[in-house]
This record gives sequence, C-alpha cells and structure tokens, in this order.
Amino acid sequence: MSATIAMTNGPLLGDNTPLLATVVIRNPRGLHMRPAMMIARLATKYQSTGTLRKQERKANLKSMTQLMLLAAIQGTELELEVVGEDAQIAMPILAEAIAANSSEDLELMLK
Amino acid sequence: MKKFLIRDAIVPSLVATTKDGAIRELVGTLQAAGYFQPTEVEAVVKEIMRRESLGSTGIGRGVAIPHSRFEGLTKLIGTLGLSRAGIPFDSIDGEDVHMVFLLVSKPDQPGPHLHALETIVRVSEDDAFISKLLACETREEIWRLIEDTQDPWNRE
Repeated sequence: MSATIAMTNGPLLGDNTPLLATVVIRNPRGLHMRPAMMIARLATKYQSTGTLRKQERKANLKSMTQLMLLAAIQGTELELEVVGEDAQIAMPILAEAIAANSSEDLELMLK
Repeated sequence: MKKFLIRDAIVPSLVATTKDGAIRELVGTLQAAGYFQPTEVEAVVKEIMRRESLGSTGIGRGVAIPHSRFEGLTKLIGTLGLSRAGIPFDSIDGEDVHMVFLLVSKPDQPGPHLHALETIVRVSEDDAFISKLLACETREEIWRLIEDTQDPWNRE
C-alpha cells in the first residue's frame, strides 16, 4: 500500500509530502484574537496550506476565526501540518509563530 | 453566552453610529448595570480603543468583538449591542458591523476569554443564529435567543 502512495507523493512530482510537527502554545494568554490574526496574516504569505489540530478540531492557519475556534490556552499541544510547494520554508516559521510567547514577538516576525 | 453576557446591559438598538461611540455606549450600559464605577468608564473605553488601534476586532459577517482586560472585575463580563444602521469598524471583510459583542475580562483569566471568543465566533458563523438575532427588537427577545443558544463547550 505504501509503495503506491510513496510514488504519487515522490520527489518527481514535486514534494507534496505533508510536514508534521507538534507545537505547544507558550503565550500566557493563549491563542487569542491578536495572535490568531497575526498567524493568519503570516500563513497567507505562503502558498502552502497549514492546518492546526487540537484533538478532533482543526483550523486552517490562514483563517483567524478558525484559529480562534481552537480556544487553545497556554500549554496546549497542537499538531501542525503544512502541505505545499513552499512547505519546507513555511513550516519552521509557522511553527515558531504559533509557539510565540507574545503578540509583540509575532509582530516582529511579520516585519 | 448567558454565562458572560449581562442581560441588563444588552442594547437592542445602538444609538451610536461610530466605533468609538458604540464602545462608549456599551461600556456605559455595563456601568449602569453595576459592573463599573462611573469614574472607571473612561479607562475601560480607552483600553478597548487602544486594543482596536492594534487591529480591528471586526471579525466579519457583521460581527465585532471589542475587548480589553480590567482589574477589579470578579469574572469576565460582556454585553451585546445591535446596530440597525451598521457601524464602520474596519472589519476584515470591510463590511459594517451590526452586532457588537463587547468583552471585559479579568487580567488573570485567559481561559474564560478564549471560551467567550470561541463562542462568539461560533454563533457568528451560524446563519440561523445571525438572522434570528438581527430580527430581535427588544432586550427580552435577545435574551431569550441567548438562553436558547448552547455554549460550544457544553456540547462536547
């Protein structure tokens, strides 16, 4: 089974293998509106699609409101999946943004 | 929503037609309902406007969630004001705001604030809720709708 999948996802077709990471919310105020807005703005700069999962809930990183629906408090572990042409570049930046300590740190990343 | 919205502070038809005016009007109703001292109103309004200056809380679909933290509250409180005319709010979708959910939270309680945001986002994505809310003409009708609307974390 995996052989077929490995072929369709293989490097010859452009690498669309989803990149996965576990990210922990460090902001003492959690993933509130302002970080959600800035993460969405940052995610929009990439072609790749980012998805953040908290158990059965999932949010498209490019949507502020979907991120707010996660209601993720400090310490929440989230699964981040990034798929797309620029996933290798986007992944570490998006992971860092989600784990940012404060909105001020996120603001610096947007500059 | 009934856990944090203050029934007596709900405004079925805002007089204000500006963002600043609507925020002032809603903080005023929370004060009149006994949640702030008259002398505290200005500080609360100022803090909410400072937050707005960092980025509009107009989340689209005619909904805005202006908010701030304030020392001295015993719990997160909020109110709701409807605007028939619509209020320019610099919302993410560029549309005027017809439903203003104003929240003031305790500085050391991020959890209830996140839950309140989640609840408001969820109802704002519910077409049936929005049309029912906009059809409300009195505080009592709004409150009945709020009482009939389950909070998302109670559903899980």
